[in-house]
Formats: sequence, structure tokens, C-alpha cells
Amino acid sequence: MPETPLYTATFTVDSQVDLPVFISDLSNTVSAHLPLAPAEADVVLFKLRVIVSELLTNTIKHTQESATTLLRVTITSDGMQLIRQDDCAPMHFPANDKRPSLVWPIPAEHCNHRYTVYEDDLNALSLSINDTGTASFYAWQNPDALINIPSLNEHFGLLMIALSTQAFTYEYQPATKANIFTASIEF
Amino acid sequence: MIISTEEKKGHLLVTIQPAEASLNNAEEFKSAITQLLDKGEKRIVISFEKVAYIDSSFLGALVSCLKYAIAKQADISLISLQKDIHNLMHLIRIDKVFSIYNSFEEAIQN
Repeated sequence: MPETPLYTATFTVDSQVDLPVFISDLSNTVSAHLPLAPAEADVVLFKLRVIVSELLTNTIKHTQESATTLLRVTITSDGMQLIRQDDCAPMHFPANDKRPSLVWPIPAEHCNHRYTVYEDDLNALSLSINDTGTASFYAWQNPDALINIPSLNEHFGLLMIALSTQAFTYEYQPATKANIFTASIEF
Repeated sequence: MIISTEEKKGHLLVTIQPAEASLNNAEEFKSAITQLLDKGEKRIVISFEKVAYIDSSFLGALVSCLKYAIAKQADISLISLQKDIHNLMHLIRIDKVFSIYNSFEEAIQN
């Protein structure tokens, strides 16, 4: 039997939202429901602020003025899940020299493959697409690499979320045109 | 105005004015710093003392400014970062490529 959440709430967010205020209020609310010692809670709340900021900045950047996004927050005894859902244009990664163009709904030939989203001397981000087209993001870092600053990537949004989570996935549902990003933090 | 500037002890102290450094003003910031570098500024110290919130777009602009500074043989250092902002830079490791100090005095001593 599934565990009853310690806290769950769904927020409707549009492009007019004052993000810093929204995130600060959410962080304060969630803080009261975390089953963690203060030091551990501080780490989780930092991750929460990073994830929500980037999930919703992404909404503002890539969606229409009139679009609304749902953000669902669920806390259980062993983790927190953040789900962003909207019905805007699906995710798209333009082709580059390392991978083909990736746009959802993803064609069958791109399923069950892993692709590099970007990679530099500081960080790398890849995505793995399963047989139903759901993408899972993975970030890794190479602390021993010599850093060539002029070649550094300047896009950090998805990377920040991937580095702050144990699991970060994207799913597109063609029937409802729903984009669903799910970010999970384990305690 | 996205920034204020002050010549101080042979350096240019640039203070970011808004409390929110985000997608909304990242391009304006990048343009302002680029103009300073184009004017020949070589030692820029950017203060985050008024910044309480930053997002990935602004951090991307900051990295872009650093690249441009290097191409212009100039130096950019950062001071007065709030805890979350420093932690964010550490998360994506750009604290490895910026010189980060607690204060202006500490920055110019180094």
C-alpha cells in the first residue's frame, strides 16, 4: 500500500509569477514538513530552490504568455518529488555534431539510446531515452580536467536540476500534449 | 540601471543593482559588462551584495562575460556572494573559473 504523503500540494504558475517570492514562500512551507534534521533539511531546501527556479524559469523562457504550468510537490518519509506539467510545445534539442535533432514525440529509432546534451571541462549532461520515449537526464563532472574557459557551456538549467536530484525525467504525452518533468530527491 | 560603477584603487567596482539576477536582465547585464570591456577596462570587480536571487540564465551571462574578458586580456572577479549564490556556482563548478572573494579589499589584494 502506498505511503500517505507527509505533504502534497499543487500550484498553478503563469508567466506573471514573481519567482523569487514564490520560491521563498514554497521553501518556507516545505521546510515545516520535512522529516529531517536542520542541517540535512538545509541541503534539501537548497536543492528545492534550485529545481523549482529552473523548472519554472524554463517555463517562462520557452512557453507562451498565456500558458500555465502546474507544479506538484510531494513529500514522503524518504524523499521529495517535484512535477512540472504544461501543455506547451514539446522539448526539442537541435542537432549538433554529436547527436541528431531530438524532438518529442520521439521517433522509434531514437528510443533506447543515450545522447550527450552538452559536455565541457566542468560538466556534462546526457539523456537516456527508454522504449516509451521517456528521457532520463544524467549529469557528471570531471574534477581532474584542465579547464579551457573559452569552450565552456553557457546553458546550465537542465544541468542544475540533474545535479540536484537522484532522478530527473521528461515525458511527453501526445494524446493530451502534456509535458511532464519529474525531479526526485531522496532523503 | 542594471549596474553601478565606481573607479576604486585602480579597479572598477561594478555593483549589480537588482535583487533578482535572472532571465529578465541577463542580456542587459552582459551588454553592460561587454561595453565596459570594449572601453578598455582591465580589472573589474563585480559585487553581488544586492543580489538575493540568481538563475541559470544570469550565470550563463556571467560565464559569457568572463570569456569576453579573457579575449580582451582583462580580469573579472566576484565579491559579496550570498550563500545560495555561492552554492549554486559550486554546484556547476563555475567557482573554479572565477576568482571569488568576500570583499573588495580582499579582491584587490589578490
